[in-house]
Amino acid sequence: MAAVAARSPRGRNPIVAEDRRAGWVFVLPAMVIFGVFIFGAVLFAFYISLHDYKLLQKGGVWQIFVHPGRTWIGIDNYRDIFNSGDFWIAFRNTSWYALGVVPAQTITGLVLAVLANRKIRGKTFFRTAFYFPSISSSVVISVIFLWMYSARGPINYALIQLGFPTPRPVWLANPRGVIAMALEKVGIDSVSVWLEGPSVALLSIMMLNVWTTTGTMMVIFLAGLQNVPGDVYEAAALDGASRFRMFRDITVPLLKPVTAFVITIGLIGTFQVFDQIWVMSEGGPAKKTTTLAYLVYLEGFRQGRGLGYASAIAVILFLIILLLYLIQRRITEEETTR
Amino acid sequence: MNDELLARRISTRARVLAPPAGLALALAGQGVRRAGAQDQPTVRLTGWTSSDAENKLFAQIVQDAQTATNVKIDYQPIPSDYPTKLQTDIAAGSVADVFYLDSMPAPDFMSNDTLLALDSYMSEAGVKAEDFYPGLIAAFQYGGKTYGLPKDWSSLAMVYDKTALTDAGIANAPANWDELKAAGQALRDKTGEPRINIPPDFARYLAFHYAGGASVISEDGSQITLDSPEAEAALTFYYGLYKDGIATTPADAGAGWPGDAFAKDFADIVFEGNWMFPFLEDNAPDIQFGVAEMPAGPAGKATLAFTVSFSIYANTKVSDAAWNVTNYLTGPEGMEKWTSLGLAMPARPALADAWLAKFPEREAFLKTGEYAKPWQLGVGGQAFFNDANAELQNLFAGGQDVKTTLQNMAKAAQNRIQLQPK
Amino acid sequence: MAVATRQIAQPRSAAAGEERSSPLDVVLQIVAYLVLTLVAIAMFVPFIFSLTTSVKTPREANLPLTLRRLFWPEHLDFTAYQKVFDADIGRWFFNSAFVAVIWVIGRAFADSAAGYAFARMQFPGKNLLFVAVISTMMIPGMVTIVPKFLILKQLHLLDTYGALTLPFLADAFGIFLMRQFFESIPVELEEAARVDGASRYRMFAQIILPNAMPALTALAIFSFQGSWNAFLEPLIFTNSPDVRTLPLGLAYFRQQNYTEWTILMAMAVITTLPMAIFYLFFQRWFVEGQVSSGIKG
Repeated sequence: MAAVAARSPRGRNPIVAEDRRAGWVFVLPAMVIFGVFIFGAVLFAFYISLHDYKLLQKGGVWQIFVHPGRTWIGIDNYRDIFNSGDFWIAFRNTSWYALGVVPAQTITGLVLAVLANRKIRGKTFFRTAFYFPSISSSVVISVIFLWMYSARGPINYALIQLGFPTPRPVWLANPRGVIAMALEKVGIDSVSVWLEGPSVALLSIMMLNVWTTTGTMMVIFLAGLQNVPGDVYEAAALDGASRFRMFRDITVPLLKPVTAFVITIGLIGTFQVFDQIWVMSEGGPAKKTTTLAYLVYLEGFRQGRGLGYASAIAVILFLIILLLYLIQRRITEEETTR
Repeated sequence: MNDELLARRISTRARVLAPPAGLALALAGQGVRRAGAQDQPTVRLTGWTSSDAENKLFAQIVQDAQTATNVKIDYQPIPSDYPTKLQTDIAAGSVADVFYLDSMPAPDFMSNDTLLALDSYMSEAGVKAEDFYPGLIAAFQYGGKTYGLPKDWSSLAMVYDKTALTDAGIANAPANWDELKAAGQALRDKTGEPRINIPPDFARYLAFHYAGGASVISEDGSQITLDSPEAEAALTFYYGLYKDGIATTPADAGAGWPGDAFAKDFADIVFEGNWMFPFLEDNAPDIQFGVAEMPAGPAGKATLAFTVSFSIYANTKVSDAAWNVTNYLTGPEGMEKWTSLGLAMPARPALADAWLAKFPEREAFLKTGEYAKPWQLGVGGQAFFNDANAELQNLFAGGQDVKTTLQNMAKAAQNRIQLQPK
Repeated sequence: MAVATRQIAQPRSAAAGEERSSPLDVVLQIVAYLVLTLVAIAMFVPFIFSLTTSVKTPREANLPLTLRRLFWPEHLDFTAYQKVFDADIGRWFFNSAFVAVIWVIGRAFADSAAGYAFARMQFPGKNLLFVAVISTMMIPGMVTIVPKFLILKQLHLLDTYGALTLPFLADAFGIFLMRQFFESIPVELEEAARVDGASRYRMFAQIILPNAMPALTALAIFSFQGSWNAFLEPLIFTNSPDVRTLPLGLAYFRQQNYTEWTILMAMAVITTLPMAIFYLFFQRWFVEGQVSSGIKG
């Protein structure tokens, strides 16, 4: 050890010199996995998205590195994707999904956390209850809700008992956009596909998603609230601040980093929703629950436009998430520096 | 859901709760699993399953095939999403040696060298294409080669609840569209709810499309002809049944598919195939049902012929044994045993009489052999099928009109189907 | 100034505050209890309904609902459970548990080692590497599914336990969690060991890891949960029933029992119960793992 230290260029203590090598030894196992299945896979995804590579391609995978010319098609996949109706349907579905689910789960999570943060009994019980759907298998929850939404299921039953109309076709079989349906009621018959709103089927899955994740968001908010020092409120109370003002001027700003985090994981979560779609609707009816993530699966492994094509969609999906993250960070940073 | 057309997988598979033995083998993966008995070749066989009864019978037939061919057969059905799994398995190189292949996606597989051409094996074994119904074996021929032998077939017919029809004052099963509509109205008036069950599914609508005198591809194979006045009339009739509240859909009734709705007594008239009957036996043995041919449309009678083959993986290491198994299962003995369950009809005309003797009430299905059109639209047909379903679903929801639906379907067909002009 | 003002204002303000907020407080408290209770019920009701449906006769399950039928069946009937046990559910359970244990062991080792290095050691490329690792948390599994499929194919691991475990033996969140934890451990422990001449390896194995049990527990629960619920990867990477995991088995099971609600709900009950019991005992760890990710993220 001493010898190593003596030869160490910086002449610091032995442990630091040892760390230069040991550090890499420590991270090596994790980095081998990352190198192949994450970093490598992301680069591979970019690379293969420039190829016409089918699921049933002959020969080993290495062929596309050894003989790239055989399958290389440049940006053709991307061009085809932007020209395909399916991509834009999936893009709209995913956007509505995120646009509905992220605010809904963030706001309900926040409200529940604020309520649970009061001096109430059974705080642990509520926390346990709200988090429960988060630990259940997505497949099981999907199956339960399949029944809840079925024509003779409890949701329709409740609506009928309360005198409300039930959708026809039934929830998960209904591809009509909810905004388009509402506008039809007031006499506006044709509306741009961009403004139809999520389909009834997609909305059903969105509600299921909010139900599942609200608890997670609440738990995170609750921890954030408990990190806010109590004396800040006491001081404000002494100044005669109203409860609403305290919430707006103290709680909300202090929760900003937590909110940013909740929105980020919300966005990532909604952009990769897959299990529920696969189990409940298989992307239908009329493709109105086909999300971008589901489209990757569909084109890559099911309809056979190929793995290259599917990877190109995956890359676009990745770039969208990256963009949203950067925008979100920009907004958060601006507000904190202001 | 499309892959479940021929085999609605409904009841539980009877599976012995096997202890996870052979863990080490499974860990080591494919290589080890294949290198089993050296003396006796092992052929891996896959397909889909629909019911307990089917499973048991098929296991028995596999036993018989093992004895007859002296080949060890490892049968592992794919539980769901069959075409996808078949593709990924072929891509992974882990696909079974012999597998079921549905007629609709068959051209996709035949056109890319993933299947073994059987012609030389057939001539060697004395199996002739003429032994099978010509329309059925043609579904598995491509570029002058045969890539599969049909194991069975079924068409669509009208299945109705005898008691319900009598109660509603309908003496005879409706024989044409007008009578169907009238029967539907009578049933609704009697019960207060729609009792015909039709899905927004191209694999059902297409039979009405053909009965209306419309087509998908022109006779000479050169163009898409989906969007015609005849088609508009046919789709207007089909969708009209739902729109006017004479018919409902499986989802709206609270069922998984029309046969399910029928079994749960949510419907009195459905249009399904032979696969429906074992399901009815299991789930609703008390229903008194009748079977009639599809109601005739303006252009007369029409129905669809669904067929499935046994095909062999092109890169199989046990091609001879795989052929022997295929030949047994599609041969007179194997096919007779298989079709005796009543899930489907024999693909060999020679076996038809014996089958009819066993299932006399299903004569209507066998009769359709003269005019049934194959469930196949060429390379890309499967992908088009998915698009067409989406359009029908949109129509049924009131999201677009009949004309737009047909135009969109025609567009999808242009995009997906590879036309092969004659 | 401010302090002075407040001191003067204090008695009046406090008195006024009490007068003003007392009724409001009561109302708010009632609202809080009401809302929280309603939401808590909403979280459990679907599970309760699945339980009551699972013990109905198939006939009753097809009848129109009534309020009574929602909460209690006319005749208790357990045949649906029999059917679920007749499926290969035991095998799926075993496979899921086996795969989950491999995930837990792999990550406990790889994530904690990497987390420790990132927390305490200086080595070339460290900061860049850490940023790279953390930023992968943003990548949805779908983005890398095609390459993973092809890589596993090339490694001849498709349709084996290897495909279900190897790509997941390390993960960014786990590394992050462990690094946060190690940073909170006092350096004195290691300094004492350093005086004794212990190497980093010995230090890690003998001093750090034994002190990291809380973090390792959170990591284990997170990994177990992730593995237990994984659906996409088993769906794409496996086919044979030998390696079928629970979510996949359930998804296939649901396709086979399309609308046989009694059977499907029995399946939901059977698979939810073990996890629910586990959760009730360890709920602190579940929730706290989530929380630590939230606060420090």
